[in-house]
Order: sequence, then structure tokens, then C-alpha cells
Amino acid sequence: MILDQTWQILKENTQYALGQVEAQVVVAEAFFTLKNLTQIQIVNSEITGNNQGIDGGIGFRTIMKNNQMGFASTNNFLKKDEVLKTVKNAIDLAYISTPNEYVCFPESSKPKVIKGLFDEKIASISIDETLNIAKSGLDSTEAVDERVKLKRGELYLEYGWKGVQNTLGIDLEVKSSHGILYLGAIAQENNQVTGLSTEIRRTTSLDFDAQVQGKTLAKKALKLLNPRTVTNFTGTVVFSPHVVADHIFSVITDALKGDNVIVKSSAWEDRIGSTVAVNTLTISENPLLEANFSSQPFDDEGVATANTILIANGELKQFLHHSSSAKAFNDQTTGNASRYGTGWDITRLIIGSGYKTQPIVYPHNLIINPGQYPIDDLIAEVDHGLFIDSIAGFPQPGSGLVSAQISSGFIIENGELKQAVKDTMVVGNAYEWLHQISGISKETEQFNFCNVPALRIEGVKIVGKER
Amino acid sequence: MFIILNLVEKALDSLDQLSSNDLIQVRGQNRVISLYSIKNGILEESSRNFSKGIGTRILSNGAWGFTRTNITDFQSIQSSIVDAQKLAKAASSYQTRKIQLPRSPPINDSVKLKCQKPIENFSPNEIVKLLQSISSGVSDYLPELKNISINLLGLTDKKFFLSSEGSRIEEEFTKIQLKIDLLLKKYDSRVPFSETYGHTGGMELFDINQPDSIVENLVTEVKPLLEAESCPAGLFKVVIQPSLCATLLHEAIGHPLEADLAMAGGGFNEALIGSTVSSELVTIYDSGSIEHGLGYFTYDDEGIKCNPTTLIENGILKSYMHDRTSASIMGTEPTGNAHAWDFSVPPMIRQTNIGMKAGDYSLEELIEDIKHGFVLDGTFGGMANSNGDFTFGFQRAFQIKQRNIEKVHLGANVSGNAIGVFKTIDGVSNKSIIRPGACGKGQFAIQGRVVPAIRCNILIGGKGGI
Repeated sequence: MILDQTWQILKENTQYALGQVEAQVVVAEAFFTLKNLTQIQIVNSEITGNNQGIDGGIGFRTIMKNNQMGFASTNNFLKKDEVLKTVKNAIDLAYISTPNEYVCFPESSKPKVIKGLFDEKIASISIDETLNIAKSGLDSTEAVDERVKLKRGELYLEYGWKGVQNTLGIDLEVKSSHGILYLGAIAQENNQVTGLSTEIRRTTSLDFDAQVQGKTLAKKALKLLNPRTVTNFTGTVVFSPHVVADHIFSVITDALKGDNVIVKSSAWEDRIGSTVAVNTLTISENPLLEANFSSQPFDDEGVATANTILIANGELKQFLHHSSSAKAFNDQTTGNASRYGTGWDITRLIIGSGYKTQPIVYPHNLIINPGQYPIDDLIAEVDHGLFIDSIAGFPQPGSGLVSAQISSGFIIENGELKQAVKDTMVVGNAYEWLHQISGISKETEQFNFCNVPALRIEGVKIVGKER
Repeated sequence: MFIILNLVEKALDSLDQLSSNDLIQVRGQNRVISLYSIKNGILEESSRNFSKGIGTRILSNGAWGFTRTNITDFQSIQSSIVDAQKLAKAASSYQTRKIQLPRSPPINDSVKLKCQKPIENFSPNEIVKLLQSISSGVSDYLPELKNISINLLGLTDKKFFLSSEGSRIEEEFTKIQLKIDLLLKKYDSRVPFSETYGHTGGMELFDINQPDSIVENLVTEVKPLLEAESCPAGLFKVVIQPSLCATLLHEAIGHPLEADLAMAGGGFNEALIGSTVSSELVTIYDSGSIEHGLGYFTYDDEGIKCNPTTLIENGILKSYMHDRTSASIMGTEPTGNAHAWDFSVPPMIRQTNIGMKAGDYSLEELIEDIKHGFVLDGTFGGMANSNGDFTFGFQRAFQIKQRNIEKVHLGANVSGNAIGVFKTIDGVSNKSIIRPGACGKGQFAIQGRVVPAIRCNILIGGKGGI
């Protein structure tokens, strides 16, 4: 069955099911997606997987007269009776839930049109073309130096639709495409083998230069050879965008989530109008950028997204909200209902994302405004410190603690990058670090839920095996 | 599920283009996930997820092709199988090393794993009351509690595996997981804490772990942390309690002993088979046959029986965990470690229930030899690199001074390289326990760990004085 036809049936069955239950509940909502997925996998210098598939389904939320809400989902969407059964399941579950005066769905929405979210080339690419991109990434990485081996790689392409309908009048759909080329390599010399270095490109089009990406990766991997241990010190660290996205983003997001503020688990619960960072730091949520990997015209309950300033020159201005958290906070939603953002939440990872789950408050595209100077200039001003490109470990969002192994880091001496480090950890509190930022790079990098620069931070604790 | 199974068999019979040289594996699955989520005593979410579909993997001309679909009419199943063959043939011309698998003997079996109290036999109200009793129990004892989230999740799978080698396996099981997250605040100090319970089976999980004892354990463990300071940093002699040793075992040793990661070089590479890679006190195995472990499976997703595999015996590297492809490359037998999270992804090498054999030491004996060090307890999860580097978070550290436990410190992370750290193990406790675990290597998995306490040297990244 052609995918467009399948999408039409999915929409019709959704509409039918919502129509059937309208009289029984105050309001019902359907979130539904249909995607075509392609994955080429590389393991240990070989293309090992050539995978394709279709995934689609519907998640229904229902709110009863006394503000009870239930949720159920199915991927068996071609059969009307199965779809209807799922709505009824959501209603049954609503009856046992605790009434919550703040649960609600949006009533109207006028999303902006964002250009460049769908590339027909991703939908029409041939099997051989996808294999060629992956092979090019593999060959160009290993051609740089025989000591470099591509150990992990994946070309991931998807295109399809997302739709939201509710019985209050929301009826939206958007077609989009996404592409990710992930390459991970090691370098080996004599008995020495480095950890994995990675280069990742995220895009909405078929805009890959696998050769350049492979070459960049190989050079990165080689730099990790011959590392040395360091003596413990507290000093200046330049964190790459990768580290900012992996760790500092998680901590900031936890504090900015409106639902966390309501249950008093946000570290910034009573800090609106207060200084939470240096005055050079401005953070916004902007999912409206053209041809951006993380752009969304409307959120996962159908609210038009917007460009929202969250922290302006270090001052906390606004929390992120979906409809229910906004109602509880007596505020407007910021359009941040997300069924994809989870972090490392085991429960959410088991259930899955998208139509399989209810929305939570999460950024679509958190932007840390870039600074004026290149990363090289930030490094050049450091007499003695570290440049950290990658760290392993999870930050503690509740407390802000970052205590992580440095998987790719380099000593800075007199403004120059020197050897890689080994057996070394970086430790601190990310909330405190926001007050210790001494430089923000002008280069930024796009990640799944954010676009961030490198940050130079003073007073960071480095722990090595040597005392 | 029978309807899909019959459609798949019919589709396979109808396709002339399938070659007898091709290896065809089709996995079907019907999954129901129930979630009850209580936040600060209020039922915040009750949901039910239904999913079904098939994943088809075909080895043709020495390469794998894989398709997945949740549209399960005859025509879509047929197309999915044909497409998997096309993908394999296309990939074949890009592979330098063709995969050749020895024929696997056909298995015809139907298995239903033990589940004494199926979750569907409990009314939602009963489940909610049970969870609320835990929530209120903890809240009553902890005035400093800012937030308590309790998630109870029940996952029931009905699966089948069909292969062109003649295997036809059906398997049914339920897994239950209870996750409790706390956040406490006193003055400016914010203390997160979490505990997870889980097993393969039903709601008898709460017979083994009575709600009252869950509350008592949580309160006892977290309360001292309200007065605790940050943990010091540096290289220390530590005792790692089973709850944390589970993460160490999974991250530091488990991942490097998965054959695909071992072949990446670094860590425990092929040249080390038969060599001493660890302290002689260490014997490590992986076994899908441990009842109640979250990684309890009869067969893996290539139809291979999940028998115990000794990985390290008295410090000597004996074997890796294998799927059929890696076993063929290394010239050995598969170990039943090919597992897929669900029908939508191909199987990859995963741990099931990784375990460490208990030793001779009591916990007191492990501690009494330490002049200055820590007992580390509770996990915040971790990560490992293919070269054996690992890191993971602990929730609390008890300082040992002159062989006595003194004050408790807040959690942080530890790190090291598996080969280096495991050679420093000089004591293993005489009791192992089964712990639940999870892993995100490429795709998600829930797994079990069977672990004692160990004593070793490790680098602590604490925020306290160096």
C-alpha cells in the first residue's frame, strides 16, 4: 500500500473514532504518526545492516466531565474497530484516574509555515544511494590513516507525517523528513586503542558530505593517541557544544520544565526575575527555524510553537509549558508538549515515544545564543586548563551534579591544545557553572533538542589518578 | 498472534523468489504495556499501549537485510519479506567479508514463562491503592520530601520466531518493573534518590518485596543523606555493594565481553582468550535461564537456546557473548545473546542476566581490611566505551576510617578501565542477589544482574575536598 494512502486511512479512522466517542467524554484528542524509516548500519568496518520499515499508530487522550484523564495507544490503525477499542480503553483508564482540575487540551491553533522541513529526496532515495552514503563515510574515515577504524556507523533516514486532532477543533498535520549520519571511530597504535570518537550530522534534507565527515572524524580519533594522566586541579575548562548538549542542557531543561516547577522539583522554582547565570548568557526556545532538524510548526498536542526567551542576559524570564502545566501555573502554554523528549527515563524508554506516550513538557529546540569569538580564541586565552570534547556519565538533574569521565579531552597550555588526557574526571555543579562562564563560542552545533555553542567555564574541578 | 503467524507461513510459501540458499528469520510480536504513574500520591497517568507487527531478516549472498512493519495484512507481510531479500542482496555488494552461518538445528517449541499473579487479574484501583500506600508511607516519614514519583509498568509479550531452517518457536512472558524516584530538599541541598524493583513474572513481585519493607528501606537509606556532604575525589579502595556492583558488572565487564564490542579492539580483544584478565577471585557468566531475572528468556531472537555461558573463570577469559554472526566469525558456537527490543528492530548482541559468582567474604570482612576508603551503594546508571573505559553513578558513599564505617557522603560518579580495575579486586562477598537493569546500546533492553559485593580500587569523582 502506498504510504500516502495509508496516511489517509489513518486520518479517517482517527476522525471516525473521535466522532464516535464525542458524546461520552468532555474532550478527546488523537496524536498520530506514520513514518517510513531506513537505516544502514556499520559495525567494525563492515556494513552489517540494511533495514527498512514503516511505523505508524495513534495515541488517544480522553478527559471526562470531572477532569479525569486516560491514555491508550495502538499501532493497529487500519482496522476501525481496533482504533475505536483503543479510545474506549483510554476512557476506561480515565475513570480510575485522580481528577485533576488542570488537565486540558488546546482549543485553537494557527501554526506558522516553516520552510525546508521536508525533502522529497529523502522519500525517493534508492537503496544503492543510501548504501553509497554509508560506504563513503566508512571509506573516507579509514582512508585518512591506517591506524583509524570505523567501529560504529549509521545512516538514518525517515520521512512521514504527524497529525493532531481533538474534539475542540484542532486538526493539524505536517509532513517532514529527517536524516542523521553517525560515524564512530577508534585509533590504534601498538597495544594502544583509543575510545570511540564520533561525528554526527543531523539534517532535514539529504544534505550529507560523508567524505568530509569521515576525514574530520579520523583526525579527531588520531588526536586521542598517547594520552596522559593529569594532576588534580581546579581551573578553566572549555566544553565543546557536544558536552553542553549532553550534560548542561539536561540540567537546564530540568529546571525550566513547568511541570517540574509545579511539583517543586525544579531548582529554579521560585527564581523568575532572578539571576541564574552570567549576563552574557541568553537562552531561548525556537522551533521555528527554517530547514532545522528540530523545528516543529506545532507541538504534540497541536499548539503553534513560538520563539520564547527563557533566560535573558542571565535573568530567568520564563518556564516551558504545555497546556496543562500552563493552566496550573496560570500562564500561557509555550507550545512545549513533547512526546519525544525523555532523557534517560527507563519507564519512557520501555513504553516508547511518539504516539505511544502522553506528552510531557520538553524543549523542541533550546537555543543558547552564540558569542562573538571562535572556539580557538576561547582556548587561546587559557594558560592552563582543559578542552573537553566528550564526557561519559549522566548528570543529576535534581541536584545539578556533573561527575563524569572525560572520554575525549585535551590539556591546554599557554593557549595551545596539547595531549589528550586519560583516567580523568570532571566534577562540578552545572547550576553553579552557569555563573562561572567566561566565554561563549560563535560556532554552534545542532543536536536533537538543542542548538548550542561551546562554553568556557572557570573554577571547574578536574580529578586525575595523580595527586 | 496466531492469525499473523499463519499469514507469515502462507506468505513464505507463496514467494517463489526466495532462494533455498537464503536464511529467512521472521519474528512476530504482540505487546501490551500497562503503566500506572503516581506523582506525590496522585495518579498522574494510567495508560495502555498495544502494539503488534513483524520483523523479517534475510541473509542473502552473505549480507543481512531487515524490514519491519506493523501493517499485518497478507499483502504487506509478503512485501515486507520480499523487501528484506532485496535489501540483503543490495548490501551484499558493499560487504568485503561475506557472512556464512553454519546451519542451526530446527527447534519446535512453545513456552510460557511462569507468572503467578498476572497484572491483568488486578483491578486498576487495587494497583493504584498499592502504589499510593508506598507513596504516603514514604511521605509520612520524610517531611523534607519535595517530590516522589512511582511508576509501575507491566509488559506482556506474545512472540513467535520462524526460520527457513525449520524452527517455529512461540514464547509468552510478563515482566514487571517498579521504579521509585525521590527528590528531597533541606536548606540549599537537593538530594535525588531512586530505587528499582523488577522481575520476569507477575504481581507476585510485591509478595517478595512487601510495600512496607519498600517504604522502610527507602526511608532508612535516604534520610542520612539530608545531612551528608559531597563525596571526596580521588583513587580509593572501596567496597561496592551489590546494587552498584550490578552497574559495574554490566558496564565495565559486560559490554566489553559482547563479541561485537570485543571485536572493536581495545578492552577484552580476541588475543586475550585464555589469558588472565582479572583477579582470580572473579568468575563471570551470562545466563538467560535464571528464573525471575529481568533477562529471563528461553530462546534468543535467532532461535538459539539461552543457556549459561562462562565468560571469565577464576580471572581467565573464556568466552564472549555471541550471536550467530559473531560466533561464525570467531569460529565458535552462538550463546543465545541475540536479542531485539521488539519486532521493529533486528537482534543484536545483548546481555541477559549477567552474573558474578559469590566469594568467601562477609561484608564485615571486606570492610575490616580497609584503612581509608568507602562503601559505595545505590546506582544512578552508567556507560562504557569499547576500549573498556567505564563510568557509573553511585547514590551514597560510607566513609571507612581505620576499618570502621563513619559518616555517609552524597553520591557522585566513579570511572576506570575494566581491565585495570578488575585486576584490583581482592575480595568478593559470599552472597549474590538478583537486580533489575536496563541498557541503551543502540536499542533499549531490560536485563537482570546477579551480583555480590566486591572490594577494589576505583577513581571517585566527588565534589568534596580532594
